[in-house]
Order: sequence, then C-alpha cells, then structure tokens
Amino acid sequence: MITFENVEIRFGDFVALPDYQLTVEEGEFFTLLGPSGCGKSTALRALAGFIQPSRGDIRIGGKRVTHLPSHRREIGMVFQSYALFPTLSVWENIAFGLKVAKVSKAETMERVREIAREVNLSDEQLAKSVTDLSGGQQQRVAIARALVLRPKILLLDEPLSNLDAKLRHQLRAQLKDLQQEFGITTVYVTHDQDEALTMSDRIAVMNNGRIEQVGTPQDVYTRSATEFVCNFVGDANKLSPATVQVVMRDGGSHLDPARPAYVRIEKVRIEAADTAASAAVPALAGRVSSRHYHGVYSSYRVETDRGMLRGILQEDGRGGFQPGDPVRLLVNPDDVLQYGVSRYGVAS
Amino acid sequence: MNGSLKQLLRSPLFLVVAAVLLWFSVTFLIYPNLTLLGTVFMPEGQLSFDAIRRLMSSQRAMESLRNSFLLAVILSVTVNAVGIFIVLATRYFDIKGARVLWLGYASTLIYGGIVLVAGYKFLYGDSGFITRLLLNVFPGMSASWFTGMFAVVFVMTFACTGNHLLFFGNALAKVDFQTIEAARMMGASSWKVLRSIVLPTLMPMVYAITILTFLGGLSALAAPQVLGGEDFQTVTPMILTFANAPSSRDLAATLAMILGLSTIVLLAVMNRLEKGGTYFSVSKVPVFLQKQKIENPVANVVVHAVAYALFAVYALPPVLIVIFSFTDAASIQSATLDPGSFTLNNYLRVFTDYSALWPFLVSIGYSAVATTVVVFGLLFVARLVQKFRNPATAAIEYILHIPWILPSTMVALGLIVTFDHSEWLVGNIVLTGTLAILAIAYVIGKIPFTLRMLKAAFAAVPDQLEEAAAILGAGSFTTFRRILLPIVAPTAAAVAALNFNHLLDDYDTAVFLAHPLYQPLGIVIKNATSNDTLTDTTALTFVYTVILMAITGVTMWLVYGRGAGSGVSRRRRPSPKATKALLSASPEAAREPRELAAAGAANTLEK
Amino acid sequence: MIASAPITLGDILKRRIVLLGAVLAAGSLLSTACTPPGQASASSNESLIIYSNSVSDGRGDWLKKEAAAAGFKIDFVDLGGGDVMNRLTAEKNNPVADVTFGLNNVYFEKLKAQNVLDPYTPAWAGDVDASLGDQAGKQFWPIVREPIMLVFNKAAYATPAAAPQDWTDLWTKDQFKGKYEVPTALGGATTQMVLAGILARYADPNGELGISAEGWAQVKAYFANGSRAVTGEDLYSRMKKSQVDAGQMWLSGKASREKQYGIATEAVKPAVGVPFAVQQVALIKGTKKAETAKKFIDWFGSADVQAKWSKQFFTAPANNKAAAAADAQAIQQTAAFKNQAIDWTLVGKYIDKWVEKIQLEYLKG
Repeated sequence: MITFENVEIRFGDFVALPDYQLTVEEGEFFTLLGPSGCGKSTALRALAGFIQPSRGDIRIGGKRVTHLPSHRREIGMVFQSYALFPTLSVWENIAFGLKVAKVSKAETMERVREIAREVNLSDEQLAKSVTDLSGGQQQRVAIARALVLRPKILLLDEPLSNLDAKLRHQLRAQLKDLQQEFGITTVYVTHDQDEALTMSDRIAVMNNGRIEQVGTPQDVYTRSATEFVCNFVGDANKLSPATVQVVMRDGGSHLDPARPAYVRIEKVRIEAADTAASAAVPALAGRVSSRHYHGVYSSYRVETDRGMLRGILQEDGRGGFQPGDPVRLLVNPDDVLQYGVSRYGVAS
Repeated sequence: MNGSLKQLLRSPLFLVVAAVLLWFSVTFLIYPNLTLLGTVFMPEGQLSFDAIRRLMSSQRAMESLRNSFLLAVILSVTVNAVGIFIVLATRYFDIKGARVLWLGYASTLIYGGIVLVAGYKFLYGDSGFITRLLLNVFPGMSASWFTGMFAVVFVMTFACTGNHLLFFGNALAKVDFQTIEAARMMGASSWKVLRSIVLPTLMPMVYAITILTFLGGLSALAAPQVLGGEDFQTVTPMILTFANAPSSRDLAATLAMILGLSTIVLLAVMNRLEKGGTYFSVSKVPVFLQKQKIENPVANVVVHAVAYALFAVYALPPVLIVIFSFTDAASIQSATLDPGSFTLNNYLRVFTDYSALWPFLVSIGYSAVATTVVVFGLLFVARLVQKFRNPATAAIEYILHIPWILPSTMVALGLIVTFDHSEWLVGNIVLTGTLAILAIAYVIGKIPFTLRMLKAAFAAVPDQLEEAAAILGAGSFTTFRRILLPIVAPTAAAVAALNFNHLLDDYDTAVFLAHPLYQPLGIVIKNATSNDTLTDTTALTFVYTVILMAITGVTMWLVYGRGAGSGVSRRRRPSPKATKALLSASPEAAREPRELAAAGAANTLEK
Repeated sequence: MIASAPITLGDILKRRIVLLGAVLAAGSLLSTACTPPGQASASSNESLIIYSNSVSDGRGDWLKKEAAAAGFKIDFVDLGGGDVMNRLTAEKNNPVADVTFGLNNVYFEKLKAQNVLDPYTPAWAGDVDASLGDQAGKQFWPIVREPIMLVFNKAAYATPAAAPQDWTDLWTKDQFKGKYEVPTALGGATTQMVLAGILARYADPNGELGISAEGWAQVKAYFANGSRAVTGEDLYSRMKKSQVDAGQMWLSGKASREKQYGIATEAVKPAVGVPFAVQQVALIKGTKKAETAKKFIDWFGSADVQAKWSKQFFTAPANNKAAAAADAQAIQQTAAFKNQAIDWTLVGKYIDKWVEKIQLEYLKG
C-alpha cells in the first residue's frame, strides 16, 4: 500500500533520513516508534507531502506520489495539536475539506452528520466553536475532519500526547476500534512504546533516521533485533559478563560473556533465599535494596555480588519481599537477548 | 513549511504579490531616497560633505543633538518610573477607584502631539490655572516658569506612558500568579514580592519599552518646540526647519541620518532582546492575577495619594480642553471660566460650516484610504515574507523598514524631488500636486509598524493549521483566505485602528505633500496654533481636539471595547486602547509601538 | 451552517471588525464623494486656485467676495512665504495653482529662476513702476509696496526719543536688550526682509557670504540680546503683557493688530530707511485656466480693486492710478518711510545661505 524506496531527506546539511525503506500493507495499523528526533515525524510528513525527498520515491497503492501535492495523495491526517481551525465551528472544521472539494450542500450535510455519529459528536457539539471543546472532543473533531474525505490512508501524529493519562488509555482502544471499523490503512507516529505495542499490527522502531527493526509488537518486544530496540521497547536488565557466566552454567552454551546481554525484567524470577533450588536454572544470590508497589505487581531492585538486577513479582496478597530480605534470582538462558559488539550484531 | 524561492514561483498569488511588492519597494522606498541623497550630497555630481562641516561648526546644532540625547536618557528613567507606577496602581495593587484612575491615565492614548502639548501649556503656561494658583502662593515667581528642559521632560513623561499602559500592563496580567502566592507563603512582603518576583519577570518588557521611549525622546518635536524655550531645543524641529529651506536640505538630511543611525543601533539591540527570550511567561496553569493589598498603612496612603495626584496631572488637560471647547475665545485666552461665556457656537460652526468641517473629512478620508491600503496590502506581504524565508524576502523586509530609519519629513522630500517630474516607474504621471502623493506617503510611513505586527500575527499561527488545510485540499489562497485571515483579523483590525488614529492629525508629511485644496486637520491645527494670525481659531482648535479624541476613542472601542473582552476575565485582558502617538507630529511617532506591539499583537491571539 | 449557534466571543469580535471595516470604507469613500468647499459648483473647472501668503487677517475672505462680485470664482491656499515657494517649486511640472501673489520680489526672483512663472503683461502694466517688478522678463508685477518695520509699544517709553531709533539700537543700547522680540523661524518673508535690512548694510565682497565680519557680529548681537518669539503667541499679545516692547511688523499688520489687541504702537523710522517688500502677482506656468487667470490678474491689479484693498487693509498700492482713491493714511505712512538702499541682487543670491548660517550659529535654542 505504502512504500518508501531509498528515500533521502535533508534539511540543509543535516540528513534526517539517509536511506529510508519501508512498506506498509493495506488495512494495517502501522506504527513508527522512536525517541524524539529519530526521524519518525519526518517520514510521516514526507508521506503527507509536506516535505520533499531529495532522493528516492514514495508510492501509495503502487502510484508514485513523491511530487504530488498533499491533497492529491488521498490521505487524512490527525495532527499532534489537532490543528483545528480556531475561527471555524466544529461543523465548519469537519466540512472544510468537502467545501474545498465543492461537494454539494446536501451531501456535505449527510457526510458530516455520518462521520460525527461515528466519532460520537452530538449536534450540539457540532455547533460549538472548537475552542470550547475539551481535549478529547477536539481529538474526535480532528479525526472526523480527517476521515470525512474518505481517505485511503490515515496519518496520526502523536494524537494522544496532549491528553491526560486516563483519557489516553481510553482513546487508544477507541482509535483502534475506529481504525478496524473503517479498515483504513493507518500510519501512527509515537514515542510511547505502550501505545505502539497495544495498538499496532506492525511496528517500525526508528533511531537516528534509520529503521532498527520492523515487526509485530511481539517480535519487537521478545525478539528485539538490536540493542537499541531492546532498550527502547520494554524494560530490560543489562547483564554483567559475570552474571552471564552464571546463567551459562545451565544450557547457555550459546551465550558469550564478552557480548552485551539483556534480560527483560519480567523474565527475572525472584525467589526467597530458602526456597529449594531449582536444579534447572542457575541462581544468583542477593538482597532486596528497594521495592516499588504498582498495585498489580511490585518491582524490586536486587543487589547481587555480580551487579544489580531488577525484577517484578505479581502481587498475590502474600506480602512479597521487603528491603533487606535475602533473595535468589533465576534467569533462563533462553530469555537472554544478546547482541554483537556492533549495533548490527546478530540476535541470540 | 518553509518555502523556498522555487515554491514561491509556483504560487500565482504570491507571485503577483511579490511583483507588486518589488515595484512598490523600488519606486517608493529605494528610488526616492536615493534621489534625495543624491541631490543633497552630490549637488553637482560631486560628493560633498560640506553639510557635516557646517553642522560641526554650529554650536546650536551640537547643543540640539546633545539635548535630544539628554532628553532620551532622562525620559528613559522618568517614563519608566511613572509608567510602571500607573500600571501597578491600576492593575497590581488594590487601589480604590482603580478603574477611574485607569481612564485618566489612558487619556494620553487618545490625544497627542501638538494638541497634547497645547493642553498642558494651557494649564501650566503663563496664564494657566496652575500658574495663577502658584502665583497666589509665591507672588515672586515668574509666570513663565513652565519652560525649558523641566517642562519638556514633564509633559513628555506623561505623554509617553502609553506603551506601559498597553504592553507593560498586558505583560503584568500574564505573570503567573502562583509564583506570587508561593512567595507570599514563604513570608515575603508585598514590596519584596514585587521587587524580586514580579518585576524581574517583566524586565525584558521594560527594556523593550525603554528603547521605544528612548527613540521617542530622541525624535521629540512638539514639546521642545513649544516648551523648550531658548535653552532646550532639540534636533527634530531643526530638521523640519532645514527641510523647508531647499538650500539647507543637506543639513536636514544629515541630521536625519544621525537619528537614523541611532535608530538602527537601537533596533539591533531590540532584535537581540527579541532573540534573548520570550516576553511573556508561559504558564500551563494560568491563575489570574489578584490585586495585592498594601499592608503597610503609611505606604498605602502614600501610594493612594501619588496615584490620585498623577490622575490629576493626566486628566486635567483633556478635561479642560473639553470644557473650554464650549467657551469663547476670550475665556480660552485668559483661561478663566465664566458661566456666561459657555456656548455651543464652536461646535455649531464645525458641524454647519462646510469649510470648518472639511479638514476633518479630508483627514478621515486620507487616514481611511491609507490604512486600508497598507493593512490589506501588507496582509499578503507579511504572509509572503513570513512563509518564504530566503535572501530575497529578507532583503525586501529590510527595505520595507526604511521608513523607520528616515523621518517622515525626509520621506516626503524624497517623494517630491523624485516625482515632481514624470517618471516611467509610475506611468509617467507627475505625482506632485495630486491627491495620491500624500496617501502614498502615509502608506509608506505605516509600512514598518504594520508589517511587524502582521508578521508576528502570522508567525503565531501554528504551521500545522496550514498543513491541515493543505491535506484537506485547500490551495494557498483558500488557506490564506479561510484559515489564516480570520485568525489574524483581530490583529489586523487593531493595527488598522492604530494607524487610522495616528494619521488623523498628521502634520509633517501633509505640510509638504497635501493637495492645497485638501488640507488635512493637522495643518489646520498647526496653522491655528502658530502665531502671525489674527482670526481667532483657538476655540476651533479646541473643538477639533475634542472631536479627534472622540473619533480616536470610538475607533479603539470598536477594536478593543468591553464587549470584545466579555467571556474572558476583564482583568486578564487589559484592553489595549489606542496607541495614540505621544507626539503625533513627530516624524518618529510611527516607530512607537513596533516590536512590542507586535509581541502584544501576537499576544492577543491567545485566548 | 447550524442556525442555533450561540453567540461566541469570536462573533462579537467579528462584528466589531466588520464595523471597523465599514468605518474605514466610509472614510475612504469620503475622499472621492466629497468635494472641497467652494469647488462644488458646476463651474468649478473655471475656479481659480491662488497661492498666497497675504490672505490672512481676513484679506482672503474679503477678496473672495469681491472677486465673486466681479465674476471670478477663486480659492485660496493660505501658506507662509517659504511654503508658497516650496510648493510652487515642487509642483512646477503639475501645477495646482493658477495665480500667486503676495510674496515679495526676492521670492519672485527665485520662482522665476525655478521656471515656475509665465510671462504676462497685465492691462495695468503701464500704471505701475515696472522697475519694482521683474525688470527683464515681465514675469511678475508689483501690487503693493509695504515697509517692513520695527514697531514698539508706545506705552513702554516715556518719550519717542526714549524709544529705539534704529534696529541697531536694540542690541547696542543696554536699555533695549532683552526687551525686543526676535524670530525663531526664519522662513517667513517679513523676517527675511528684516535680516536683509540689517545685513545689507555690511555688504563686503570679501566677507563671508558677501557680508563683513562686522555685519555678522551685529546679527549675532541682534539674536543674542533679543527675546525669542513664542510659538503660538503674537508679538502684540506679548507687547500687551509687557514681556517685550518691540519687534518686527509690516504696515498693514500693524494697523489690524493695534485694533485687535488695543495697544498703541509706533514704527521706528531709521535714518537709513527700511526695507520695502514689494508684493507681486504672477501667472503660474502650465495653468489650465490661463485665460481666466489673466483676467483675474487684470482685475486684481486694477486701480479700482487696489484702492479698495488699500482702504480695507491699509496698504499702499503700487498702481499709481489707485493712489487717489486708496487709503490716504496708508499711502502717507508708507511714503513716510525712506526706502533703504539694499543691493537686492546680493540679497537674492545669499539670503538662503544667510538664513542657514543664522540658524546654525546665532539663533538661540
């Protein structure tokens, strides 16, 4: 549906995207994930037609759109700030694109009402000035305005970042539902790994203008292709060579203590020091140095003689451990992610 | 969407704008001024700096220059002191009757220039109220005590506080009140809070206003001319005099260039300040400023007393002008009120005698045309230079600022020497002696201020709005018309109102360029206030002044009036009234609000 | 659009802006829809526009009425002497004025040099002393001779002998120092005549700008010891208040001001005489109403009109035939002054430079 072919984007001397390659399938919810400045917004804006590549091509549905103006690419976009027109009413905002396209009054009426129903905007809200709406309502107007033109692609540029935490969580689901209902190919830009993991069909993790990994949320999380992805997505312990050596004692012959190694914090098992040792798994002895209560679980920092490790424990009502308690930590060698010295080293 | 030259060439709308802009800049900004410089400094095709020698050997010229700079420095202190005080008294401290006080302080926003000076002179001059009062107490003192540096500084100090009311007041309203609450909780006194929390956050604004004040002092015209006496004359009146004598125009141009250079230096400083940071603290959780009680009873009484004393100083001249506009010439001459001398004849005369009303119609016509043209045209230009940032537009922008550097007198002269014969640039029409030339000069004079304000307004519009419109299929013109224009419209209206008011009583451009049968008000007022005349037009001048104040007030109300502020806390929108030029006859008056105003304008956009 | 939209802040603002737009539009219309006073009638194309520095003090209104009776529609542009000069020069390629009068010969020489005037010989040319006007080119013609005087307040001096006897007394005798008014603006015709009257006494081909060092010292002393004129206040008003006792005045101005301010003044009659300003009238080159303008000049300078003008405004007409019917007092008083011998060529050549030098070096404040 969407392809970036060797796209290069420069701002003066600065190369934002050196050689960008990407394919997004039809109907997919595709997320560009990365820290700020990684080029994800640049890629999105190039797709929208706001930025011209200095090299390469962008295709939509096989058609080359590299030099096509924005409005002829059949895309809709929801901006980070929503970019609602402050001097127009909600209705006028949504109808703006139709009016520009000289759609008849009757059809405009019908289509605006229809989309308003879809995004749950009441007639009363349609009559209001956009400045009188709450953040969540504004976002719905922005979505309605983008979808009313029936675009083939929907671009979402961090649309949830302006909202408070609770609303953000609710809207993730709504956004995803809406996308599935319309079946529209969606490109979503965010720096929030939670959003990316929960909403996407596929994720491209970006860093420094390059794509580090493309894959399903599970792929990206459990089989992080690079050290960067591993660190950026989810939460991982970096293992010291000494720790790796302990882990290698049982079935970890494929591991190399000289290479960087990580284990996700939820893969670290924490057991009371007096529990009978599981023979299958090599253990590290340590003491709890701090505990943070999260309701569903608690996270622990454990000081071992081979370095500090973090782990989590489900809150099962039995109280867990307290700082100072002696514990032992277990890491399955299969759970260790290991990378080459170079960033492009092979995964374990 | 930073546009390149290539993009510009693709947009037919901006291509047209660019073409017109280029023609206008070359024809009316560059060519006339070069012509003028040429005739002045190369009279026989030979470069000559004789003017500098003549000026250097003139003690009077050197003293005038010194006085101008001295005045600028002194005003920088006094205007800040009074300006900050009146804003604090009406907006920060809890002073009884703050609203009435504000109205009094704001009177300088609706009248200025020669009529303001005349108003003060009417009160403090030889036969003024105050003078006679003082003479009763100190019989020995001179009746003409109100002259020289003191008088000029006094009048200009009060005349120039408009910037504080508008911009300092606005900035104060934006101070995060939570910082004040925090300081209070830590036990800080109201004085301490003011000194260490509130004022420091407003310092960038104070610097900026100080520069405006400095420039205003440097280019003072009416006050030194009328009140300076022999000891305190300044440069601008001298420029005007020399510009009037064809053989001495090189002197006028040289002096003007000295002022111009000072302006450039100060503008550079201003730009640095502008880059240095934001003028307005941005708080995510705006808490409206609450007025502060002064706990110390003595301080409270003192502040109240000073506030009301200042109120008297501000309000008396305009009030007396209004009262005396209903009396006959004799009463005005002697500044005495006699119940029998009240009459409506002055007003009847203005409104029934077509020839007395005529200057008003001319002034309103010219102001309206020039304002409409400059605001409408620059809406496109401001957008162009804001959107397409490249060396060409940057150069154009500098050129559009020329009228800030040259006094309007020089601009007028440039137009005369260039267009007193047919020029192909304007279709071989001789512009002198036409109605158009004054309108052109007015448009030129208003370009820098209008451009800066509008550019700031456009810059305050988020780029994403344009992108949103583009993606929805709107072309650059549709986006401009339907999205951007409505957003900048309030600023444009405010600029239009300020321009309109400021042009109403212009004198020094009109005196050179006005069509003899279409003489605007400024000329008529000036003639009436100058000597060598027998027919008594004093009463008429007062009526003109009152009507001017009324028109100015109404224009401002239309843009900033109370209704416009409803729904938002009144205190939060300290309605910036007219930025009436302090010395509207001053060539530099147009410089007055400049970037500050631009900042202020950008500010009004925030809801 | 939805009809039930509540009134928002934006609406109010919008309404205001629309209103402002309407005001501006109406204002713009004014300038095209309205015509200046006196230009409204159908015959406006034949209405003459006259630039003059001599129509203040009611002279313009009177002349307008008289001219109307004679079938001329005229409009005055009332400007100071310097401004009339500058304007006529600036507009020479697209003149607005049809006729100008009132400036003295020095100014008219300059106008002639700037190619602003058209030669025309009025019907009454034979009745005036042509040497008072443009000797060579017949471009301007004399109408009124007017002495430029030093006047003093009679009440200020016990006897006429105690009053100043010449300009030079003002700064050389201590009792007059600080008690006479000196001008601050030197662009006026009267002021420049006074300066010419003082400086021309010290003509010196080797001196600076044709004047000897002694002459410059005199002018310097004149300004150093005088009391600056006050912007917006007439000399007579100041004399009435005893702020000053003497100052410059022209003949007809003296008469009208004495009446206005109710004080008696007297003109000094220096032994060397006083400068005479000879007011002139001329046709502007390029006027589209040349025929009417010529007729007006014929009428205005005629013995009849000049005599009436004289009676009304206390002037001495240049038209010899008018003398009989003119104000005898005015003629007599004018004749009482000796015409100071002044090298007008020198004045014409240097007056601008003199004014500039005085402004730069001698003017106070």
